[in-house]
Amino acid sequence: MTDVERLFRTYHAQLVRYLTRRLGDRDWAEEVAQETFIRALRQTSIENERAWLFAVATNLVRDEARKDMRRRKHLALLSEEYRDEVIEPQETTLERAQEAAMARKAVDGLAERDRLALLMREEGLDYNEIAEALELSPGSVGTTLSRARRRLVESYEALQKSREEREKNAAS
Amino acid sequence: MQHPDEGIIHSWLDGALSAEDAAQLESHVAGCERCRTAVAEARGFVAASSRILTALDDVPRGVVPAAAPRKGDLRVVWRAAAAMLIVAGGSFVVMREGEDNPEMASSPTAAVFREATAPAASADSAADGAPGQGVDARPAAPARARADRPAPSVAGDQRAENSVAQSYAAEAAPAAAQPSIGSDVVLKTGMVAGVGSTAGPVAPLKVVRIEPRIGERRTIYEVAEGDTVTFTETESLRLEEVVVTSATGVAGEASTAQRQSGARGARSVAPITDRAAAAPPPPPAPPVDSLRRRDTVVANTGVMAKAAAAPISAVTSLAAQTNTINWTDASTGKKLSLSGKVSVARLQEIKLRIEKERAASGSRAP
Repeated sequence: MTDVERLFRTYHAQLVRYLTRRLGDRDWAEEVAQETFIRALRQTSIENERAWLFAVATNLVRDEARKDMRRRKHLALLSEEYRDEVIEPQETTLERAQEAAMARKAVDGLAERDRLALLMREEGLDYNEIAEALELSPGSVGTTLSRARRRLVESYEALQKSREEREKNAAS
Repeated sequence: MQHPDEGIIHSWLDGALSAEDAAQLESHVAGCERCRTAVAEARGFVAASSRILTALDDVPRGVVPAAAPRKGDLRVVWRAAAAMLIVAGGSFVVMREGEDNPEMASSPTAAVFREATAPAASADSAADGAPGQGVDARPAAPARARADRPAPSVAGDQRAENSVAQSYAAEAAPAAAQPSIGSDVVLKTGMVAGVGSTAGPVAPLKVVRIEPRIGERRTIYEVAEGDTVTFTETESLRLEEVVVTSATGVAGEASTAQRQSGARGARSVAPITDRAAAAPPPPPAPPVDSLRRRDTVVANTGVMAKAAAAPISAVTSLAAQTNTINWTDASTGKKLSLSGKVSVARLQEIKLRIEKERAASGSRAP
């Protein structure tokens, strides 16, 4: 049986960060990560652990995304109900919040494969692992990543620029 | 070498190129202004995208409140599963012990199990030593204690032959309400404090009473003079059926009074969630700990204040005299249990007889 405890210790943080960045929600990310490790439990052996974990997590997210619309509606209802119980952290400054919002927008603007490859790379997956997790040829990972990075940065800079212009207009 | 494309440059920066390819690229870039610019730009993209992604980590928690109740549900499920395991394990221990030692009372393992489940309340009467005196009313067994059985209230003589599996008294009869009803009940129900013997000769099964209830049906058999067992048929498995549920009266009045008042708590009918409802209101005196609390309840309802200090060990040794076996009817799938203050071997034997009789009658009524 797979040594899940070791897998968990080694990859949980990475996986949660990857998923958080992918989903924009840490609780959801942790749920998906947990489900991923539960699935790892059922495996007798996993050849390339990290690639396997990221692939499974990615697929789970994909499955989740289908339920997303339903879930959003559900959340809208729940957020009313739970409003008092949810304690939002207050330490996030306005500027950081704006940066996070722009980053989110820029990341969301990427093609799914580019986004996933980039997020996996950020968690330290090598090209072979990314290729395995996303079922790409290893030779195309560099191209995928270079495109993802360029688009992300350009998109983010465009958002930043339009924000600065808005602020300038507001000031004048 | 041709000018490397952007993908190759990123591969190089990411350390994904073979040593040979990397060496080639390095030597090319060293002499190619255009590629040096491309590499610098690529480095910028790598660093900037990394920084942008880091900004995504400022995510508030608790955005998905739905997760909370789900976790709670899971905990409940696990708790229930754990409870089942503990209970099942306990029954197993009891049965195993019974195989080895029919009388069981002295078995340390069984004693431990009982200690964990037996209510403390009867320690009092044991301490008192006067059979049937003062135990006019025992408060409904404290919720958790119900667990299991109203422990036998014991008089000085611990023969405890009169085996009575359950409390049959009125539903949740308030303890103090019926101070001296004990002997009436004894007569009415036929659970006389007899001089039977635990290992007495096999007598024909005699139905003392049938108690149909919601979801279960109980039949009280007299298996020997003054020796009864309770046979419980349950439609669906609940924790209570697996738990040993029986009281063994010793000297009639005391034990019966106890039965009377311990009623609801002693019954396996009450779902575990009903505990709060079944338990008597907490005593005004602040309890020191859970055991003391039960004692306090007893004392408070006028049973025996003196007994409150009785050691719990008395309870365990007394409680040790009731056995229960559980099984499932192969044909109906019903959960069945048989309790009584007789040895497990004896219970098994009675079980066979009951099954035979049931089969003969062709219905669930014996």
